[in-house]
Formats: sequence, structure tokens, C-alpha cells
Amino acid sequence: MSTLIKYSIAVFACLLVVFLSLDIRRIDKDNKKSNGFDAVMYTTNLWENELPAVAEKAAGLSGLLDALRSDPVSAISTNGYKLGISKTVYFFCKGSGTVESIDEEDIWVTLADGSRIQIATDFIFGNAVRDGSGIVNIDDFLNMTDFNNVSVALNKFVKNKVVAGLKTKAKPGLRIDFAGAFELNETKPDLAAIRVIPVVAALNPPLHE
Amino acid sequence: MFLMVLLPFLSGCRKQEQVQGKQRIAVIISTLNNPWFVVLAENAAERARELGYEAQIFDSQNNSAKEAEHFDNVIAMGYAAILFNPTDADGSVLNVERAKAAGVPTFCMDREINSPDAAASQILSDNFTGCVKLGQYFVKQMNKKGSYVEILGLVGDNNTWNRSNGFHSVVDEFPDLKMVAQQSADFDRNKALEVMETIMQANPDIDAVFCGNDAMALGVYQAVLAAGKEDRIKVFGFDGSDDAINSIAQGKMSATVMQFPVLEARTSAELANSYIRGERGFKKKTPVEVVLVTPANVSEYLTKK
Repeated sequence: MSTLIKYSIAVFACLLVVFLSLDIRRIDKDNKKSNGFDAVMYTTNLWENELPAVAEKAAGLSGLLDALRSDPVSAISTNGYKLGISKTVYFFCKGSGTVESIDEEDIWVTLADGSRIQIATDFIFGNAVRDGSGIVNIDDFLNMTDFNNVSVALNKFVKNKVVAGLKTKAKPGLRIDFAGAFELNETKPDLAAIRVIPVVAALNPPLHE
Repeated sequence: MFLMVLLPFLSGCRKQEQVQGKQRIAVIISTLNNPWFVVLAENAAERARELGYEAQIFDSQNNSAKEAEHFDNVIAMGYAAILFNPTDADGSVLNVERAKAAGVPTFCMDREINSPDAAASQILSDNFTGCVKLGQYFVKQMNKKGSYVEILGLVGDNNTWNRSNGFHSVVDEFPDLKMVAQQSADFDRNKALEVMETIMQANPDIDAVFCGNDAMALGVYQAVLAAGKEDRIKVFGFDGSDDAINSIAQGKMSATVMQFPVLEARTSAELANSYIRGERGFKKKTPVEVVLVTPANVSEYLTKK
């Protein structure tokens, strides 16, 4: 009996040593490193204090599309922004058009010059707003994680403050006034597939009414 | 102590030699035990040689102590610049700062260090944005619903989390996409195969697997094939390795993200050359865009690197 107790204590002691020597932690613990950068606070300031001026000064989309059709190299260098070594160019633009149709992820709009574009209402990802604005400098950030978190936060602002409810209120024939960003591949620019991520979007009655 | 007295003398001798011969550029690389980094290192060294320098590759073997040793040697031997792929985003900062203080500029390649001004410039793969693109494709392929597994790379590596975070910044917006398991396989093909076999036993109804690199994706595909589930489970990778590109072309893997190590390496060597010739004011960070490769565009990448 006493031998059994001795073995039990020895086994318990061994198990205790093994347990105490284990460091059990969540696999994503290394993902929680923080250097104190608050992407939401940074983006709130950007959204409230800087983006309105960018939207106000943005190029008119019809004129920009004309320029991209006639002299894409010049239009890209004048109005576009590229990040690093890349074939993707980002633009900020503003415009007005008539709602033509509404699908799951976009409102299709016809501009006064007849161009058809999409205004995104869902599936809003990527860096169009951050990089199209031209006001967020990668060298101001400690690392790529912080820089990319600005895009994530900006896209959430678009979803929560601009497009929430836009799709349900949009009806064919209404006028939509917008400002926002879009991207193009500079080697294969597809001007028939312009998809604007809006930072401003307002639905109004048609102009002729 | 003896070495400390000797090093400045050696350094002086080396600098004297370089006045007469070619200047030297060091390529300090995190590991040469991975073909991707071999391509990075060899192309950096080759471009440096084309530009008229002597170039030598130093393998840190994923060991920060060895990396620090390489920096000490390179500084003491009077190298003109360092092309650097770090082992640790935080831990490598001191090495780069030491080189900077000694007047040796460092140019980071592919992996970043968490310092705004220690390196002369950093040429980085945009892992996060690549996985945002992959995440969007993943969501569409899955019709916004289903069960999936994530196989992570090394959990201490910044790129592991940049890829994972980019992917989740998209996929987590779709509540009907459920991650049933998330496990690390250390960027290793065999480990990924074993991990996937175990995960499939506990989760028989998996629809897709997102892997942090192509090596793991190919290991996962092997496990899926052995289980006879290759028609059901979609496998997604990252890197754009030749094997992954071929796998996509053959209808096996679903997609990957192509990185451009040759471009990163050559650009870093060219920046170092400009710096040595007196140019300053480089961008601190230059991301290199990555490209989503799917069956729709895989033919463009079958022969490219």
C-alpha cells in the first residue's frame, strides 16, 4: 500500500513538473504585437479632417476618363498615385450620374457623357481610398502592418458611414453625387470596368424634375 | 580584447585594399535552406557583380546570433553596403543600426525591420495586400460560405501574420465562412502534409485550405489527394513557386500569389549602388506589388519568374 502511495506521489510529481514546464498559449499570440499605433484613431482624423478636402479638389470623373482615353500616360502621371513598384494606379475622383441598376455589390451609374461606372456598396477591400487620396505616406509608418491597417479602417468607414443603406435607397433614375477612389492596371487599363469606392455618396431626385 | 584591438587595424587594411580593388557588397540572408531565399540572395549578389562590385553571400541560418556575427564581420571588413534579408523584424534592428553607425548602409529585401530610419531603404513584398486579393478570390470561389482551414507559416515571422491578417481582413467579413482549424506548419511541405492529415480526421467536411506559402499548399494538396478529396477541397497558397504555378495550370491548386524575388533583389542592389555613388533621399519603404494567379491568368506565369 505504502509503495502504491509512493508511486502515485512520484507520478503526480512528474505530471506536475511536465505541466509547469509547458507554455500553452494561443497560436495567434505572436500576432498581437503592438507598437501603440491606433489605426482607428489615425483614420478618424484622416476621415474627418483631411479626406473632405481631397474629395472637394478631386478631378471630375468624366474629364478624367476622357484624359485616360486620349493620353493615358499623361493622365496617370497628373492624376494617379502608385505605391512602390507596381502596375496598379489609384485615382481620386468626383462626379454625378444617374442610377441605372443595382446589383448585389454595386450601383451601376451612367455619367452625363454616357460612361457607365460602378459605385461599390459591398465587397469593399484594398487600398484604393488610402493610396488614391495621395495623403497617406508609407514612410510615416513604422511597418507595413500599421500602414495596411489604415486601409482596413478606411474601408470600414466607407462601409459604415457611406454605403450603409445606400443600396436599399438607390432606385433607377435617381441622381447620385459621389466622390471616391478607383484603381486601374496601367498596362491593361479597362475603362469599361471603373469601380469607385465612395467616400461621399448622396442620392437626389433627377435634375430634370 | 585582442580582437577589439585588432579589428580597427584589420578594417583599415581592408579599406586600403578596396581603394586598389573592387568595393564589396555583402548579402546577408535569413536562410539558404529555402529555395525562395536562395533566389533572392543569388540575384542580389549577381546584380551587385554586374554593377562592378565583389559580392559575398552570408547565410544567417535563421539564427539571430549568427546574423549579428555576420554584421560584425562585414562592418569590420569594410564592406560598402549590405543587402539584407532579416531573421527578425525587431531583433535585427540593432544590427542594422550598428552598421549605420559604422557608415555601412543596409538595404532590406523582402522582409522588413521595425525601424523607420535604421535601413537606408527597404524593398518589401506587399504580403498583406496580396492576401487581400487572395481573400477576395477565396470568398468568391466559396460563394461566401463553407468550412476552411488555415495553415500558418512560422508564428514568429512578420510575413506569416501579414499574410494571415490580409486574408482575414476580407474573409472574416463573411460570417458563413467558418475557420474550423488554424495550425502552423512552419512553411514546411512535409509538416503541412502531416498537419492536414490530422486536421482532416477531426474535420471531415472541409471545403478549402488557405496556406501561408506554396510549399505548405503543395503538402496540403498531397494530403487531400491521398484522402481522395481533391475534387471537394480547394487549396490556396502564396509565393508563386514554379510547382504551385504548374499545379494551378493542371487544375490542382486553386490560386496563389506571385512574388517577385528577382525584382526585389536587383532593385536593392541598384539602390545600394546609387547610395555608394553619393545619391541620398531614397524612399524608406518601397512595397513591390504581388499578383494573384488563378486558372484564368496562370498561362502568363508558366514560364516567368
